[in-house]
Amino acid sequence: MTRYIFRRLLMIVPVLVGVTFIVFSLTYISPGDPARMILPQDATDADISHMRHLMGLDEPFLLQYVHFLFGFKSPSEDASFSYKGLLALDLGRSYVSNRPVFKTILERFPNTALLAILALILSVILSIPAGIISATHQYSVSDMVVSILSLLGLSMPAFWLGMILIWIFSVKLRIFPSLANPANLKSLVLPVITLATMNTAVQARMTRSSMLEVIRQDYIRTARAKGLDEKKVIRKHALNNALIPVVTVIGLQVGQLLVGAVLTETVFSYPGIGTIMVDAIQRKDTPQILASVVFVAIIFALVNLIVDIVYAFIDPRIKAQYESMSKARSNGAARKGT
Amino acid sequence: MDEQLLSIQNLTTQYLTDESVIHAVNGINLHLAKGGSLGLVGESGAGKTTTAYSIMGLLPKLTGKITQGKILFEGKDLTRLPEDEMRKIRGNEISMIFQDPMTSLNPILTVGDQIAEVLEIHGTADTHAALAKAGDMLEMVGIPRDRMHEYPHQFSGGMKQRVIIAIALACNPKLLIADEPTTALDVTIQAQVLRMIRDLKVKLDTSLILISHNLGVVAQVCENVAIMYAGRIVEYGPLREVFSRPLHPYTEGLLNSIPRIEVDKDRLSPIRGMMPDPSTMPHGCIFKPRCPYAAAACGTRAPHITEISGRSVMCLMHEGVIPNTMGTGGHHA
Repeated sequence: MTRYIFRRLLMIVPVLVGVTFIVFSLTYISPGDPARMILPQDATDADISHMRHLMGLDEPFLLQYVHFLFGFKSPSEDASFSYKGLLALDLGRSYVSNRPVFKTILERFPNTALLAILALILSVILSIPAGIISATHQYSVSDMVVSILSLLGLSMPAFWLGMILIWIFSVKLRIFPSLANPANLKSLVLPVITLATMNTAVQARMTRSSMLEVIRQDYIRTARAKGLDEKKVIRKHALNNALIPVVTVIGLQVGQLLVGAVLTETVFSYPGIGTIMVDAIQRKDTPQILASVVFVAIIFALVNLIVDIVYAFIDPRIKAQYESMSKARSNGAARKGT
Repeated sequence: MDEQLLSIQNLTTQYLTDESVIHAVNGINLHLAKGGSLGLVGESGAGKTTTAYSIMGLLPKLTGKITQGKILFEGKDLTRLPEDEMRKIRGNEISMIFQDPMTSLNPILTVGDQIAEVLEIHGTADTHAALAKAGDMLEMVGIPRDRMHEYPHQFSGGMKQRVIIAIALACNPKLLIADEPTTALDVTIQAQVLRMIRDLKVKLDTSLILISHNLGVVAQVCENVAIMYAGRIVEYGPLREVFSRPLHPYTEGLLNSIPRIEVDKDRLSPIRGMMPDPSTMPHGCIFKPRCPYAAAACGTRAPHITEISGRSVMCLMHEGVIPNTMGTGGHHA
């Protein structure tokens, strides 16, 4: 198992190389010149090209990518354009705020994580019981209510729902503030609801369909034939099997939540990763864009790894598969060695 | 006469769908003595499994209904028992082995846990003792006890079926219902599993209902046999007598469609046609459309059960309504 985890961690490396290259290329070819944006309006062409030289933007594309990975030493005496490169987790300073880009991200990440975790807890608490009830009482009133609500939740875009919630609870009822910030838990209620709505709907539907499939399985009949009561049949035999695909969905959602729900954070002006990205893109703040996207990619890869490991704990078949994979590999290596 | 363990009287089970009513079991009578063994034989869709589910109380909740009749198990009518009483019987006094061992075990629990579970449910043992007993059960079905911590995917089909047998027999039930226990297995494993069921039945003094479409399987294990056709028992009697001298044309057809080593025959003769659609039963005798002996009377008058020296049969030939020409092959021959 440890071997498997280690191998999965190694597999993240090529993923990140690919991601960074694509992101870097896209930023490179996108219009707008950072040097021109930094300098005042009346800067001459000579000023601009000097600035480009200081920032290393006059170098060939591939060399710039190498700088991006391994660091760049600016020819200027001022160190503000030098950075140690992605491998040292240093992509320089923001062109806008002049703060180290990763510092900003790491400062804001806990805010996003807080929102994500709260939204996740809320959605899991609501969706899984709803899905189970819906499946075990198929075609009943409660099934219909769950199905309709989840369809509704699915069809409401976050920015729309966020604005409607602000209009009702902040403007009309004045219960919750419209601007969210992590220091004020009350202000998190609306963004958490906004974020959780779509996830709850997706998870509830997934739980329902997965559960419906599982309760038709032969081993559920076996469990009933043992004389187990229906509640335990569901809890002990059906639920764990039904949750396997739900975990995949939740994993993908956690990835999305952790990298900042851009729309929700923007609607509530919440200081998270999502707002950093939007601001950086609007201002063509290249180091900040690159740093945020790479960060997001790392988080996504790690969350997926965690989901795969969780899988192994729920499903012994998958665990066996992992173990046999690493066994086969070590056998192969041993044979090559002799 | 032996003490009756199970007595099914006029059992009628239907499945209700939106469009129609499926007449799966139509007024059958069955008796099983303590320690006895009964084979339930018929084609797919004859109502064998529905009969078993009716006894177990495992009919699909929304669609399956017992509309008539009684299932007396040690004098208690199982059709009237409340669910929580029924649960105490299920897996404890009446157990069932299912057709497909590959899918009948929970993939994410160890086999030891799955055997121990049935012991815990019925309060036979606490968690620790239940696991120990689960090990004993595994050994009894010929699997080393240290494999109890393994998961179903680590076992072959035959071994999974042994695990299922171990689960079914863990509480030492009075009645074991085996529904096509060998159909999904390799031929070589079939014999092993059958022998095991037969031996354990004797060892644990369990009564047995063996459901199969295969007369050969039933012949190896059972004393009595009931032939089911379209939800009815068309013939019932001691296995040897039924096999050597069938009373019902359907039984005769079944026997003629299996190869026999002692009879020199170029071709097997299958039963022509299909079983009637259980949502629209024919008038008169249900077997008439396929019966080589059918006469005009068979289309209008439904046969009753005729008792002939300890055997019973549902055919007008034995009621004296039409001439008994059994054995001649009828007019298709």
